[in-house]
Amino acid sequence: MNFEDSPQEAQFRATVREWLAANAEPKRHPRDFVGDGLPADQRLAAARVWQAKKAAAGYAAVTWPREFGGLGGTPIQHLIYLQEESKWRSTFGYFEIGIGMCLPTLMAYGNQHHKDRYVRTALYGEEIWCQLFSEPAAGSDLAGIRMRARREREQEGSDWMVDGQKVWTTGAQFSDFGLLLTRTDPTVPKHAGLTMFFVDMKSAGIEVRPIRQMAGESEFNEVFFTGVRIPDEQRLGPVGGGWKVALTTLMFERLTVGTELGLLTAQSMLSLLADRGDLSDPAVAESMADAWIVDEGLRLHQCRTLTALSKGSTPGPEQSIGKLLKARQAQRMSTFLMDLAGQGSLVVDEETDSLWSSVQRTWNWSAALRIAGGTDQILRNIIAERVLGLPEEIRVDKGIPFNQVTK
Amino acid sequence: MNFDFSDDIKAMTAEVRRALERSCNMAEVRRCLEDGMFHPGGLISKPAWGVLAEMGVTGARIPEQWGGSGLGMLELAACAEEIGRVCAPVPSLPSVYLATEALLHSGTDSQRERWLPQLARGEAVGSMCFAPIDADGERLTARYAAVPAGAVADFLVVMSADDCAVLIDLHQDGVSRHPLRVLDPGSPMAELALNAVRSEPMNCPAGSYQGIRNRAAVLLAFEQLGGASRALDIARDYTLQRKTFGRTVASYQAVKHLMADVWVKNEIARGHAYHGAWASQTNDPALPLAAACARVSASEAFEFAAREALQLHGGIGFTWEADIHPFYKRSRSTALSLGSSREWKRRIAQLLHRQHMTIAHEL
Repeated sequence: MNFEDSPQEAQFRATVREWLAANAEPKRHPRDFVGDGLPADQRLAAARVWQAKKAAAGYAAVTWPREFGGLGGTPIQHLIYLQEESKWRSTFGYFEIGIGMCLPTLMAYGNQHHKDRYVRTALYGEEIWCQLFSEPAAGSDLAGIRMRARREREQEGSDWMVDGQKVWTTGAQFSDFGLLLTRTDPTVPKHAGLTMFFVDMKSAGIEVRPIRQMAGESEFNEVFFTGVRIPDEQRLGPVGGGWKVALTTLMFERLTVGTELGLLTAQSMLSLLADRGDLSDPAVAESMADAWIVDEGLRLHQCRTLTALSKGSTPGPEQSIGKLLKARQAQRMSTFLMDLAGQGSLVVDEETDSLWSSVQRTWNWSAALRIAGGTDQILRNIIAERVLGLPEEIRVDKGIPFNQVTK
Repeated sequence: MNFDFSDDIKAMTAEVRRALERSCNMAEVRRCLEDGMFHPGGLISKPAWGVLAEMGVTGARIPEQWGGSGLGMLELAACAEEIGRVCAPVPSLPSVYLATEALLHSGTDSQRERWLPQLARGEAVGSMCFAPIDADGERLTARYAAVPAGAVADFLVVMSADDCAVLIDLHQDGVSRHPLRVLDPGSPMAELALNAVRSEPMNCPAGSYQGIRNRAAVLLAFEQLGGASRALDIARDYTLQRKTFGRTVASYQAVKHLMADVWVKNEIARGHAYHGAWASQTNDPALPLAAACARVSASEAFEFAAREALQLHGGIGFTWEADIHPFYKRSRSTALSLGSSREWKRRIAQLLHRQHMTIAHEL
């Protein structure tokens, strides 16, 4: 039992460190990203430059096969890269979804032309991809999407015409392509009537509208489709086989082990409490210990996951534990710290890199993170059903044609 | 990164598990509990204790020269989980994790010579108290209100917070024992009154008091972890087989989510317990904090698992026949041995504060 890198891991880490030292810029504070302080378009341009550098060195997709521009590396190597990169200025919010989820799906279901045309450009940050899955009436119940795709003519190979609405689409405003889950047959049960496409986001009939979030910012979008034409050539998998393709995408989401949520940590809680001199209060001390146990416990759980990965297993439903605990814990910690500070903590801290602004950001975002990417309730279902082997939820729409299910 | 037990240790614990499942099934546990309830004090599951001695668990950490197996903390920790899994009514904490460890770390040669071989064979039982020592020369007069395994222990180690310790042979004049009725008869206690008994000084290096408490906390955390995962298994099996309103009880979301929460707490406790075992084995500076986190997370996980597993049984869970009450009782008694979670949480905060100040100072 030990926490040290294996000789191969240590060597990889050394190589990564050397490359980062030669190519990356030092970080000035924890949330310091490439292009910070620049207007949105220049910030994106700076992010693309950094992405291209990474891609040229193979670090943009450590686990991808070399033929696609990756390093053919292991999940551990991917994590080692992320650990090292997090000490430097990097990018966040542009390329993760495309490279982490959309392109691996394309590589699994696309043809040779697709792979030649789209993979490299995405890897180098020249084109950005988004994921068009969730809808206003289908979040947790993803297979209940309604965006309708119809063949333009009733014949094999005909173009498709798509109408409907997607929601919570990260990055749609600057994306070039989107992975799109549609309903092609509403007369069969819900999972059977789905088909996956990818779509050019510049197509006529697509309108991207920012969603104004609870805290006043806009990071996500609604995307409206009105008579959008998609060539049959951009279909991934068979007609009616979209659910299987979507599951592949979601499985790749799980492979992004160790992605930081950017929330307040127990370590920053400790700094705050130590500075305030509150730790001698037994009630405060106990809350500090509770927070530490969860944060440190998740780190140790991840160490066990990595150990299993390095022995050749794949990340399973056990990974649900991370977000389930982290988001709730963040909400509790930020609320607790604000309680200690009193009413003054309601005043927005304008210094965006201060500890207090991080408490406030956490208080806002923890509410979102308990919902995004699997609600607390869905994650518990996953643990109960897939880890503990308990019965699946009763599905009253099971086997019923989608257009006959009460909506 | 290799944060798991080795295949050798896993193979060893699999054998211990099989042997314990045979020798210490729930009928045996209930029999011991029943015995302990009506004849307080004297209880040990002889079949379970015999298996632990035979398989080298009681002497896991005792060097071979004294008849032990000469194994490390990792091996003993992994076995402790199996002891907890079967809820074995054996004095593992007072005798193996405390008294034996105290002898190993602070015993004189003659004390080791005298007790370690018997401990390894499971023929002697030790116990330990953490209390100030007020000895008049070599004669000690004291009263200890609740000594674990006090009715059956052959010797007692008393250690004070300033790292002084004495060993008392309990088979001598002046020792009187009063077995106590306790909530968990599987962890019996007795009041010991010592009247001018002979006490032998031990050689405690500085830091012994906290060191031994840290290591015992880690080992006990593994027992608690074993109990917590078994409680979840029992709840799962029961709710899968029981039907209500025409449905399997385990199919209700309220029930599923509760068990998911139990699993989550158990997983977190497992990470901390492993960390504690690693830090004990390597004597890493992280041990005090790792041990405290292991202690608190395992206590909380076990109590939550046992409490909710009982709840998921409905009325039958409150009966003597159901398998869950021994775990409910053990989860409470183990949460209080070595000090409550409250004390250990304050210790975590203290250690973190100290760590923070050191780092701040270095910067």
